[in-house]
Parts: sequence; C-alpha cells; structure tokens
Amino acid sequence: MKVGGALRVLVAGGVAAGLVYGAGRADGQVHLARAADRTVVAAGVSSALRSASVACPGPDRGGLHGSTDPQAARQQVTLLSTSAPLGVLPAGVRAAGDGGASAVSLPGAAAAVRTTRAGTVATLVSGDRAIRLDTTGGLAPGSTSTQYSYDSIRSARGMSFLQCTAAVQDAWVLAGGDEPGRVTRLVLANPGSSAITVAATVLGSAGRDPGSVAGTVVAPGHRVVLTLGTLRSGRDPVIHVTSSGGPVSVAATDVWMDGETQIGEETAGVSAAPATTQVLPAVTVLGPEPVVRVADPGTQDAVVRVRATGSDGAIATEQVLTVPAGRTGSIGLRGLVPGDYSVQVLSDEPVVAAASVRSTATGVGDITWATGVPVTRTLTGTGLPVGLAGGDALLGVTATSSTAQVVVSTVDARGGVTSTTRSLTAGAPLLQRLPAATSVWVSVRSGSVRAAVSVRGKDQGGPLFATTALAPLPLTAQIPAIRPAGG
Amino acid sequence: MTALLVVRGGHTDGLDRPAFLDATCAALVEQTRPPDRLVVVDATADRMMRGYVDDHERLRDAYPQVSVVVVPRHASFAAMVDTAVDALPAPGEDLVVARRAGGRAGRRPVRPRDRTHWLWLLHEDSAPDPAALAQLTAVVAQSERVGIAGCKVVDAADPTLLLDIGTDVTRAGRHVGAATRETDQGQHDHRRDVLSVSSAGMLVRQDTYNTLGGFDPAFDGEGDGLDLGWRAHLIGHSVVVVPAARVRQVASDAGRDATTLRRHRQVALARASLLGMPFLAIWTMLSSLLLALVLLLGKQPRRAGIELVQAGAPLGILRILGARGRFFRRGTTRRRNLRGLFVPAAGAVRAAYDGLRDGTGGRSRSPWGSGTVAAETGPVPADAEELRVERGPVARSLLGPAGLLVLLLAVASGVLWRDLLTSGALTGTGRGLAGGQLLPFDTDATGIWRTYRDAWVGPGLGHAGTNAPYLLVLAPLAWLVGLLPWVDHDVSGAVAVAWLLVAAMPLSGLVAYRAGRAATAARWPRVAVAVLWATLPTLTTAVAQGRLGAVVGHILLPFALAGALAAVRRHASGAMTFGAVLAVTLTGAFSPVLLIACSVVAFAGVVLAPGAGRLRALAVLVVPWVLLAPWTRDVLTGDRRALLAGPGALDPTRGGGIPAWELALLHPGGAGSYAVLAAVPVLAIGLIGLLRTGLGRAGAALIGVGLLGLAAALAAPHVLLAATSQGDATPWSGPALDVYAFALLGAGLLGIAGLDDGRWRPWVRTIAAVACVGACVVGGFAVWTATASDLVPAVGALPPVVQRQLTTSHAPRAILLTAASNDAVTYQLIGRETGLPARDLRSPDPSYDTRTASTVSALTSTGAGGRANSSRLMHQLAVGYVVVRGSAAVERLNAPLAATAGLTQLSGNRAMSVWRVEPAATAAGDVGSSRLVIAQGGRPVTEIASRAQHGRTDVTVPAGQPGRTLVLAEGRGWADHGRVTFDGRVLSASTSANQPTYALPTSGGHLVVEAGVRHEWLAWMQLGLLILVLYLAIPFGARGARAEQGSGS
Repeated sequence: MKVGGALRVLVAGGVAAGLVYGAGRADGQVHLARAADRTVVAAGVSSALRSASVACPGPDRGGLHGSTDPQAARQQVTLLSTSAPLGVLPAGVRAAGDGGASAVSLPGAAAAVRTTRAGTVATLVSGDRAIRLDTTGGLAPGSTSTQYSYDSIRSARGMSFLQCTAAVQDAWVLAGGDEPGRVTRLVLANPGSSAITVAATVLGSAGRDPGSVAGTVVAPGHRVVLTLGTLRSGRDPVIHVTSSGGPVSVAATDVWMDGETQIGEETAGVSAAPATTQVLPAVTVLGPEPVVRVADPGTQDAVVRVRATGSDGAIATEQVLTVPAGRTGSIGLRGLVPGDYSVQVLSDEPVVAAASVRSTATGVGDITWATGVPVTRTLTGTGLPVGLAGGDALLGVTATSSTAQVVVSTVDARGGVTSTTRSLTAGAPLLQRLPAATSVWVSVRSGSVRAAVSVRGKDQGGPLFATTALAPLPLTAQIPAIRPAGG
Repeated sequence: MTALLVVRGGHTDGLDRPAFLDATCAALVEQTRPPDRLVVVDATADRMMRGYVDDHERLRDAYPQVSVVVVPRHASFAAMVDTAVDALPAPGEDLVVARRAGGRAGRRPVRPRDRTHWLWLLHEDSAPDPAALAQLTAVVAQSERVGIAGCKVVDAADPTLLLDIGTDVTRAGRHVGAATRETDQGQHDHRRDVLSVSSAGMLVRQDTYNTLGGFDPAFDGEGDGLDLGWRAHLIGHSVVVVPAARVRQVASDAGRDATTLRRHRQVALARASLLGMPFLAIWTMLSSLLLALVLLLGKQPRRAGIELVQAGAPLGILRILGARGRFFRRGTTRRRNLRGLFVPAAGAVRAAYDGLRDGTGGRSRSPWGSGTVAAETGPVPADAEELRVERGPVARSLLGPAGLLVLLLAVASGVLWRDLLTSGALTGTGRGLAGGQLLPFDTDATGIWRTYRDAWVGPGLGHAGTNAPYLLVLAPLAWLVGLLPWVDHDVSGAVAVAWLLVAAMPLSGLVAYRAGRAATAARWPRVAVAVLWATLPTLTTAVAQGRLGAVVGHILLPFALAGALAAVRRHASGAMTFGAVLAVTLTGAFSPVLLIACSVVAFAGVVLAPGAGRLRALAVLVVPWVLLAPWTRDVLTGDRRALLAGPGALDPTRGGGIPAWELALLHPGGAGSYAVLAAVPVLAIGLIGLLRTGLGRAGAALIGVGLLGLAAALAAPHVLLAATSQGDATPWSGPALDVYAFALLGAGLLGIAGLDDGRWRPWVRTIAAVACVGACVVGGFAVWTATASDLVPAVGALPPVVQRQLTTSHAPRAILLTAASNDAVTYQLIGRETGLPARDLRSPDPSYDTRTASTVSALTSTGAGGRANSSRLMHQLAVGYVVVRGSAAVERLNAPLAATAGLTQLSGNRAMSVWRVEPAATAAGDVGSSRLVIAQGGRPVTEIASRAQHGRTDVTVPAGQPGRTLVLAEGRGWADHGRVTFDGRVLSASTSANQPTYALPTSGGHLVVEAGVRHEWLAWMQLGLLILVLYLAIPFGARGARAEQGSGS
C-alpha cells in the first residue's frame, strides 16, 4: 500500500460519499420534456346522437311464390316512424338543427320519410323487401320505428307489432312450433354494404335441429326469407341466428293454421341476450294460459322459475321448470285469470325466454309472442297504431333495479304530450293502458327498467293482439378515447 | 571455359570506373580453377575496359590474352552476353560490335566442341569466391544433362545475407521469395535441381546456349535468367545450383522489383502449354488482385502495388506471344516433367500469409523473430491480436482463459435466460423478443438499411428519416442471421436483436478480458474482472428490460474507455488509437451517453496528455463524432436531448425510487436486479486497486472517470428528458453506472499490474485464484437470483393471413385496435414498414397521425356524424384490414365496426375479430386499398403496385383521362422528401391536398416513385471515413511502434 494511494482513496471515497449524500437529499428536477413528446390522446366524447339506423323486416310474405292463397303475396305492413318529444329527451341530447329520416328499401332505393319531432308517420310497405330507416342530425336522438301489420286472409289472420331495431350479429328469436299447420318464416335482412353469411340454428326440446341452416349468404342491401318447416328436434323451437361479415336484422313470423282455422299470426323480434333474468313486461291474457318457452344455450341444465306478477304487485302464479343444457322447454302459466301481467323468468343459468299467448283456446283467434326485453336506462318508446277497432295499447314497465322512477309520456293525435311520473319497485310492475295515444315514451329518471307494449284490437273474427319489446333508444353518440399504441 | 565479364558502368566510384570492378577482377585472379580465357564485355560510357585491363597487372598476368568486346552501351545484360557470344573473338583480340543483328533466341549451330565448352557469366559487381568456378566445374562434370549451373549469391556488403540460391517460382510464375535476404546459415545448401539460377556467376554450356539461341529478347533485363533456365529444362537439360560456389553481389542490383516479378509471370505464361495459358493468365490476374487487396488491408501498400503490377502481366500479350513463337516446337521434354521444380500452391499461400504477418516482409521474419509471447498492444480487436501469436487464433481462444471465460459466461447467460431457452425467440424460429423497451422489429437487413438511409421511414404513415446510426451495425448482423436456414428471413432483424441480448454476457466478458490488457498482462485477474463486469446488475437489468443501447454499450465500453485512456499514452500506436476511435464510435452509436463519457476522457487527454498523445486524444475526441456525422449534425442542430437518449435508454419510472446508495453499489433497479450487496466486491476491488496504484496518472484518470460516472448516475433520475405515455421519462442510469464500474474494475487491474514478477508472484497467483472463484460465485448468484425479465417471445400483432397481405404488391395497411386499461381504445397503423428496435426519444407515438386518429375515431364511434366517411378515410390510408384484439376490445368495437359501411368481417371470436375493407366501387371497377392509386376527379380509378416501403415503385402506367392524379397513401410530409418522376420528368406535388398528390399526364409512361435518401453526401463522407479508420485500425504493418507501445504498457 502506498501513502499516496491511501490519500487518493480517502479523497475519492469522500467525494463519492458526498455525491451520494447530496443526491439522497436533492429533490430538484431539470425539465427537458416537451409537450410535443406526449402521446396524443383523443379524449372520449359523448354527444348528441347524429346518426341512427334500424331495420324493419318488411312483409314476410312479400316474395312468396306458389301459395294457394292469391292474397298471400299482397301483404302490406305499416311502418310507424316516430320520435320522442323534445321534452322527453334528456337536456344534453336535445340537439339543435334539423334532422332527416330516410327509408332505404332492401333491396331498392332510399326514400325520404317526412318525420317531425314528436310526430308519427305511417308508411305502407309491400313486396319482397325490408326497410332500413336512417335518421340523422337533430332527429336522430329518440327516434324509432315500429312495424305494424294486420292480416285477415284465408291463409293467415292476426295482428303483428314489432319495434325495428339495429342489426346484430348474434340473435335469439323465439317463435313457431311443431304443431301441424304452423309455419315460421325467418326474415334475414342485410342493411350493410357487404355480404354476410347467416347461420340459423334451431334448438328444440330434443336439442339442435339437424335441419338448421348452416350458412346462407345475404347480399348487401337485400333480404332472405327462410321458411322453417317440419321440426326434427322436438317441441318448442328457438332460433339462434349468427352472422359473419356484418350484422343482420332478424325477425320471425309465426303463422299458425289449424286446417282452415286461423289460429293466429305474430312477428317476433330478437329476444334479449341469454341472461339469468329475463322479463316479459307486458303479457296480456285473454283466456288461454300463456306458455313460457325457455332455451338454455349453455352447457349446464337450467332450473327456471317463472313468475307472473299483476299490476298490484301480487304474484299471480309461479312455476318451476328444468331446461336441459342446449335444449328448450316450456311451461304453461296455470291459474292466471285474464288480465295484464309482467312475467319474470329467473334461472340459475343464462337463458332466453318468451311467452306465447293465444287469444282463444279454440277456433279462429290470434297469437302473440312476448319476448325477453333488454334493459333501458334512459329512454324507450314506440309509435302506436291508430284506429284499432275496439282496442288499445298496454304499456308494461318492470323495474330491473330495486327501485326506479320513470316518466311515461304519451302523445295524442294532435301532438299533445301527457306525462306521468311513476315510481316503481322491483316487485310491482307498471301495467298501463294507453287509450288514443299515437306514441308512448318511457323516460327513465333513475334506476333501470324493461318495457314492452302490447296492442289489442278486434275484428269480425274476434280479438287480435300483438306485443313488442321496447329496446332502449340511443340518445348519444359515443366516440371512445383513442390513443396510439406503443407509447 | 570462357568467362564473360560484363562491365556496364553506371555505378562509378571516385576513380571514374564501375564500382566493385576491382573486387570482381581480384576474385577472377584468385580463382583456384581459373577460366581458360576471359572476355570482357565493355559497355562503359567511355570504353575504358581495354585501358583498365592493360593497367591491371594481376589480371593481365592471370589472363594474358584478355579479349575486350565493346558493345552498345544501353543494351541489356542478356543482349550484351548474346552479342559477345556471337562475336566471340579469338584470344587476345578485341572487337567492337556496333549493333547486334537480329535473330536472338533462334537455334544456332552446335559444334561438337560446344558440348565441353562452358560460358561463365559475370557482372562487374559480382565477385565469385576463389573456389567458385572449381566447385561449379566439379558439379557439372558429374552429369552431361547439366546445361546450366549457378552460384549461391550473397550480399556483397553482408555476406551472411542470401540473395539467391536458385529461383523459386510457382507454376504461375509467382516469386515466393524463399531465401531472399535470409541469413545464410547453410539452410539451403542441400539444394541442387532448380528451375533457374541467377545470371551472376551462371555457368552455361555452349551447346545448351546455342540450342536455346541465348537469352530471349522478350525478357531482356528482367526475367532473362528465369526464362533461360526454364527453356533449358524444356529442351532436356537440367539447371543446378551449387551452394558451395558463392558469388558476392551488390544487393541493390539483385533485388526483385515489381517489373522483374511481372516479367517472371510473363515467363510463366510464355512457357506454359498453349491450352493452359489463358487459364493461367486469368488466375494470375485474379490471384494477384486478391492478394493486392489483402495486402492493402494489411497496410502493405508497397507490396500491394507490386501485386497489382503482377496482375497486369497477362496484358503484355505481344511479349508473351513473341517469346512463345521463338521457342515454338523446340521443346523436347514434357512440361509435366518440370513439376517438381515449382513451388507448390500451398507454399505460395503460406508465403503470402507469412508476408502478411511480417508486415514489411523484411528481416523480422526469422524463425525466432515472432516471439512466443505476444507483445501487449492495448485494447485492439481480439482477432487482430491473435494473428501474432504462435498458436492459431481458434486454438488459443478455445484453450486459453478467454475460451474458458466465454464458456462460463455462456452457461451463466443460459441460466439467466433459462425461462426462454427453448422458445422460438432464442432458437431463431420465432419472431424475436418483445416487452420492456423493445418494439416490434419484424424486418430484414434490407429493411433496416432502408430505415437508416431513407428520408421517409417508419411505421404507420411514416415520418421524416430516423437518425439511428446503430442500425448500420444491426443491418449486417440481421443479414448474417438471415442466412441461417431455420430463421425466418423477414424477421431476421428481431432475431438478431434477441441474439445480441442473449450473447451480451459472454461478449462483454470477452471484451473486458481483452481490454484488461491495457492495464495488466496477468490473465487470471483479468478473467475475474471480466466475470464481474459481465454479471454486473447494469447488464442483467439492461438485458431484462430490453435496453438495447445500454446492453451494446456495456459490451463495448471496456474497449472504448480503455482505448481512449490508452491512446493518450506516449507510445500508443496509430492502430490502437483508431481501434479506440472505432470502439468509441460503435459505443456512441448505441449509447450517446457513453460517447459523451469517452469524449470527456479524450478531452482531458487533449489538455493533459504528453507529446503526441494529445493528437491521438484529439482523434479519439473528434473522429467518432464525425463518423456519426448525420446523427451528430441532427443532434447538435436539432433536439440535443438525443445526447442523453438512445435505443431503450429512457426510464419512465424516473429511477424507480432507487436510493442513491444503491446506485453507488451499481444497482439501477427494475427487472433483472439481484441483491444489492452482491456488488460490494466490485467496490472493494476498485478501492484496493487505488490503494496500490499510488499517485500515478492512470489511477487519477480512473478516479476522474469513476466520479464522472457516479455523478451522472445520481443525476439521471433528476432529469426529466421526455414525456411518454407512462409519464415523464428520465435517462436510465445504467450506462453512467457502467462508467463508474469500469473505473472500479480498471483500478483493480491496475493494482495488479507489475506484481506478477518477483516476491509478490505467489501472492498474486493466490489472490487471482481466489478472485476468479469469488467472481464466479458472485456471477452465479447474480444470474440465478436476478428478478424476472420483462421480455417475452414476440408474437405477431396481426393474424398471419393479414400480415402476409401487407407485403403484397398493393401493400395495404391494417389498423390494429385494442382496449386500453383506462377505457380508451389504442390504435396502431401497421404496414409493411417497421420502426426502430427499441424505444427512443422519438418513438412514443409510432403510429400517430391526425388522419389516422380521425379515421379511428370515425371507425370506433357509434351514432356520430361522419361515420359514413370511414370507408373513404380508410382507403386514403390504404387500410385494407381492421383487426380488433382482446376480448374487451372485441366486445366494445364489434358493434360499431359491424355498422361501418365497407367493412366485412372475415373472422371473429371472443379474442379477436378481423375485418376487411371492401374495395371502393367506382365506374371503372372496384379499387382496393393500395398505397398508390390513380384518381380521377378525386375518386380512385385504379391501383398501382408498389415494390418496397412507403410507396416505392417503378412501373409503366397506361394512358388515361385528362385530370388524373397519382395519390400516395403516405404522410403529408412524404412529398417533401420523396420524388415522383414520369418518363424521367420530375412531378411536383399538389400543395392543396392533404396527402401526396401528383398530376399525371394523359399519356402512358414510366412512373418511378422514390422515398428519397437522406444525407447522401454526408453518408458518402461517413463511408469514406469509416473505411479509412478501419484501415488505420487494422493492427498490421509497422510493428515497431506497437511492440514499443507494448513494452510501455
């Protein structure tokens, strides 16, 4: 060891120790970062909806060939295009400026629809086509369309009422049956600009139907009507539709003839996605007991409890059903007296559900399908057919949350708006008759609800009725926050 | 026996007569077996030989009837001999031959007495030993086949130096130079049959001479002797050398200059078979050119020049054909009989290699000249070092401590990478590594080169050129990796980066071991230090975090810093200086912070170094910055923060809260860390070394370097250098800690220096052994306990089916959408281009562009206005596919994508959905997504194929409608750098368009789209300087300075 070395170590060590000590105490920073370095993140934006599009299936028999009934192909449906009154819309989405609506025929050309805020416009549609209704600008928030039809021909009789919804890629439709003379026409419309391939799998009480459609191509702006004939998968068919390449608009028309006797007709839309709770908020019982059909798409058997609740909150009936995995089942709601009910389907496995109701047990009548309804947290509503002979509409609203507060607004033929604020609890549904209204709107102030509308009427053949689930109406445009990856 | 003494003059002494003539005449007088007669061939300026002979009593006494033949002055030796032999006067007669008649090399009549008559050729400066002729005649008397006999020629000034003992050439006429200027110890005295002999003292039988017609005029002056001997063999005579007969010759006259060697090659061509001559000519040309190149690289320009002259030998075709013609059909023996006389090819190669090793090829190439212990040369590349050792480089590397070190560290590296050892990322079958600071680098060598060179580069829509000089190093590595059959060529860049990270530990150990020679020659202490260096936490963390720049910086830093320190020493060599320059440049290319550290050291050298050391320090200070010129210019005139950045050099954790004392113990923290106290031995080694080194300059320099590194490491977390998506990032403290660690370990090695001799030797050995074992224990602990790496095997961001489409002729792009944790959607515009291999100052937003952002906004929104434009926007970006990855993203984005016009879903599941952008339907047909489209009235009408990155193409475009435009789906700035020509005419970009748009003529033509080259002249300058520095850094050539430097270390 050298003295110089020791001295040097001492000095160097001392300086190093000083540096370490100083660094431990220093908290100053030199800022060299520049604003331009930062990742450019576009924040998410929620603004008034500027564009919305729904698709209506159109006349299911519009392109029918070879029918023994010459009137069958001359079917007409009515599209009720309407928009919620400004007062019903939340303040943030009352967009200024004009908007417009157009009906695009699938296939075919677009035609303007003269819709005004709070007004309801009826458009007659016939032929082999579906309709895509586009609303833009200030008219987009709170606009909706509903397809209404009334048939009374030799080969079909009944009333149908279906809210038009946005096309989807995965849909469950509950309609049809294995009874002789019962035919289900599945209407698949492609509102997009590229071809899609649609598979329709029929589940029954015996499992998957071997006659399921593995894949049918629907050209852009066209529709395909599939007729589901003899079922080989048992009873209670449920149709699962999936689409690749783009979304599809799905509806199924259930026409039931018993020989020459018209049992009824209904066009059913897409049911709420599989869930452990399904609600059918508006089930009108005119006589025969409703039959609730349940499908369990999962891999575990589902134990299903079906409960019907009256407007007073009392449980009118409660049934239990076990549905095997991958199959369907049904149960009649025995003991219900005629009236309006909300039906809840509670299961330990995700299921889809709908209730079919006949107007009469025998003879000429009508049927309706009350399907599972998606949850609404802001606004829903629909236009209503006017001039229903001896009929009216029923609004069923069931709270999904423990409590909910809703404002029910109806618009009369002169444009007058009547609003009622209602507080709901989970066990007490709102079942409200709507006489002489051209549209009805349910604005959710708190909580969440499920809503449906059932309309009824009468002709010389007897009562008619039809039900539609009310899907939540989009009010806002969502532009998510985006940022470039890799930062 | 007639002696022919040719006196040409030229060399005159003070007595106005040819120098050495007296000695030659004296030698003739003293011959024990004197020739029967003496003929003096007088070619002197003043025809003085008759007078000289008359005045030379002893000569006159010994040879009373000397004849003097006066010949033209400027004739060659061979021509003079031919003249004299033709006109051979009677004894005592003199003769003047004004001009020799033609017909040389033609067959002449042979008289019977010619078979016993010999001609002994002597120059005026070649003095034979007294017994020379007696020895020659004794040998030639033994065989009638002998036509020519020659002497051993030695240097007149130093008779121990051999000049010639028979000519050694290959079949191609290459003179391998055996025995040239060797010390004569009788090592060649066994020789007898040779191809030819020197004309100094050459004994030629008269009939042989006449049959050959004497010397061939084609080779007068140079190569005449070789040609004569060669032809003598071809007519069935033998040529022998008689080592016992010695001739002393003035060396300058016997040297083989370039012209002589060239003539030798021409002799070989003239005497080769007619069929073999063309092939021999080609071989001569190619082999000489190749050797010239090698010699040039070996810093032997003079010898390279000689080789170049030889390469031109076949160009003298007239001379060759003339010589062939004169000897046509006169050969009587087969050429293959001469096989044994030529130096075999292996001998030629060995001679060339020896010449290369010996530098100047002079006397130093004695068998014991290259000592068994290599001299110290400081930190120069290992390969170059090993050329000078006795054992082969491979054997030495494998068997020495360096081999053991590499093996140990390779095992350690295997332990460190144990989780990924069998993955495709490391075996080369995958796509490299991802995670940490690494970015996708799916490209090949060409892609890397383009990224470096091009003016418009990068992923997404691209951006103005990236200045990353390290890409120049990665490109050849990727090329080499791409040659391996199991590596996917398209991702060779990523594999090269992965392998570089894996090999970092053994490489840094090897470099540290070699660089340690600057401090001490003791090998085992260097092994211990190298193990510690290679397992420092700065390396394990840099590797685990994918900090490419820091990793390569760690590998090269010992060479760079030790070189910078050693270059300032008084006796440092130029090769070492420029080796240091190269090391500093390479280090700086990957880690600018380390370049600054080396430059600080060099600057200190400029100020403080003694003598020429200042100049060398100036070279180390300046040249690396000049070599990195484009980068230097951009950094100094632009964003100077790049000086503190580099690939993977940013730390978004801002030091990660590591306390200062841990930094002092060399721990930068993060993935790859191990127990802090494990670095205490490094600190201890440094302090002990400093205690031992006393007040020396080296110790002071290392203290300065160490404190500089420590201060920089401590300061790094306080410098908020750049903003990233993860927050403000600071420079990573690892490189600064490397400088600090270098000083500590360097001080330890300096402490050992000088202790390897004398009484300390046993102690040193014991300490070295303990240190080696201790270092291995520390290293083993480090690699076993290092925390998990951030790196994982890379997987393609896109499905293979989409990835493949990106490199098709239309080169569409894909938008990759994923869900971020904060409810945002992240997007990436992916094309065939790639970016940099690791994050850097400018790479937080590789895909950012306002047009891309707008497109993604429109695409992912629901219910917003402007969604109808999504398809058009995507076509403008040449987006052909939209890929949604991750279940959250699929759930959120499938609905808006499904509602987007012009998008068709190709596949979808819960984890990923793939959508195709449908072609735009136009009146002219469908137009798909393409980088280049021709538009009419703003609407695309046809796609144009592109062949490389960022729209490059070279196609013929048919005629079209007026008003058509070429639209490039590139960033707006492309037009500032790129160039579009149509039939050779440069088109100008439209200033109003938001993407590069060019008006096209209606006529058809040749369309060329180029993305532009950046810094073209700077790049050429850079290349030229790089070649020069490489050349200067090669440790061949002048060995004196290097040996001297070695002794100085």
